[in-house]
Amino acid sequence: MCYQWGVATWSAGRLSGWVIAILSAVAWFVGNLALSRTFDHPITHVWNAAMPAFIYGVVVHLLSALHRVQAELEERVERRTVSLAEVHHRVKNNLQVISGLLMLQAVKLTDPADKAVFGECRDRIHSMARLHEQLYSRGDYENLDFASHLQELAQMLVYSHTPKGCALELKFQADPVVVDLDTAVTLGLIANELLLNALKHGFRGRDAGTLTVELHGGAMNRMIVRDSGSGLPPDFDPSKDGKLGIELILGMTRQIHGQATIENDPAGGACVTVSFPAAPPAQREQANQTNIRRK
Amino acid sequence: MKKARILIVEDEAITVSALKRELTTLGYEVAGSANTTDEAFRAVERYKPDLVLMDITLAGSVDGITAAVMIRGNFALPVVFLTAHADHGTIERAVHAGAFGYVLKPFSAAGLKAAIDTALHKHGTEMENREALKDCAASRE
Repeated sequence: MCYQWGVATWSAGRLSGWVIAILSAVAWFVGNLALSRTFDHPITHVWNAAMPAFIYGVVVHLLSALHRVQAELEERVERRTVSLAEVHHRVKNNLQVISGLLMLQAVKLTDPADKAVFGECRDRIHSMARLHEQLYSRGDYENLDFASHLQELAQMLVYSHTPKGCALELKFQADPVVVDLDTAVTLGLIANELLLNALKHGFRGRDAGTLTVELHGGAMNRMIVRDSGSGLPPDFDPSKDGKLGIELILGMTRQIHGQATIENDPAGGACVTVSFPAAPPAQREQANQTNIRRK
Repeated sequence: MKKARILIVEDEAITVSALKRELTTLGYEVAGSANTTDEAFRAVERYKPDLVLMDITLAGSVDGITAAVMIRGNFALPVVFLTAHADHGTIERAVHAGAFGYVLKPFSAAGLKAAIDTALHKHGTEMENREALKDCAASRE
């Protein structure tokens, strides 16, 4: 009996085991008292002895079964977590191979402009890889705080792409904005394009400048990249005058059901604002399903 | 100034080629490369590099982290890990193994250079301190 008590308490966990033990003891005591008073018959003693044993048996059986199921589920979750980490690790390794291939191909090129195109492609790959890194280093495989990724990306690109001879200051201000993986990858690529555009074109021929990156949360989240450079040419129309970078920004912003505004800042320089809905992933998935059905 | 000689321990051929190019462009000399940890031990003896750039998930009798501990213990060489693993558990293991640097894949030229230069400097300082301690102990005797 003591062994069964022990198993029951251990199986159910410390707190619930004790609660069950106390409740069983009270039930046994009350039942025993009531039966003794009502029926003064020899069978009463047998009943008294059998019932608690039966109850304990059932409780222990149920708790053991529950314990087995719990252990099995925990093992499955563990296996799934390990597999997911392995997948992310494999993804990053493959991204490294692609990045390496681009680098090896770029060695054969002689035109610096062509080399720069390959370099930009590698930057995009690195941006996606850093997102995978964040995902599996934190253990949350569905949602991540885009603010920290944006900050890391901005610092990395400013470090590697600041024009020579330009003293560049990076101003960063961000609210925590949690997004799902698909949105994070797209937003990361948009941010990558915006930052590279600003670094490549915004400070040309300047010896100092400021690059401002902001992320604001709300019903519509807003990501803003602003430079203090020469600004956009007069009558600039992004849909007509934009190159591949602008085309990607506009296309990817539509993909996350957002809007992009590309304009000159009144204080000088170019300013791009990307607004995107803060809908929970489930709602966005539902909206995507609806769009697929419409198509 | 003498170029630092680096041994690459990595099993992905394309990554090895990319690393060789990148390291040469950055001003280092590639001493050689190895695909497995067992090969790495032989390569360290043969090429006598100044630093080992080591992947973690590798074929061989031990993994990259254990190999790094052995290389550090037997040859007093700094090891910089180059890996896709970014989880806390692996990083912690690498730190305890006495890693001189940790570069995440896909690598950037700037990140690689910063990690290698820091490791070489740290290793140099460590060696100088060790020599100074030896001299100090000898003068006391």
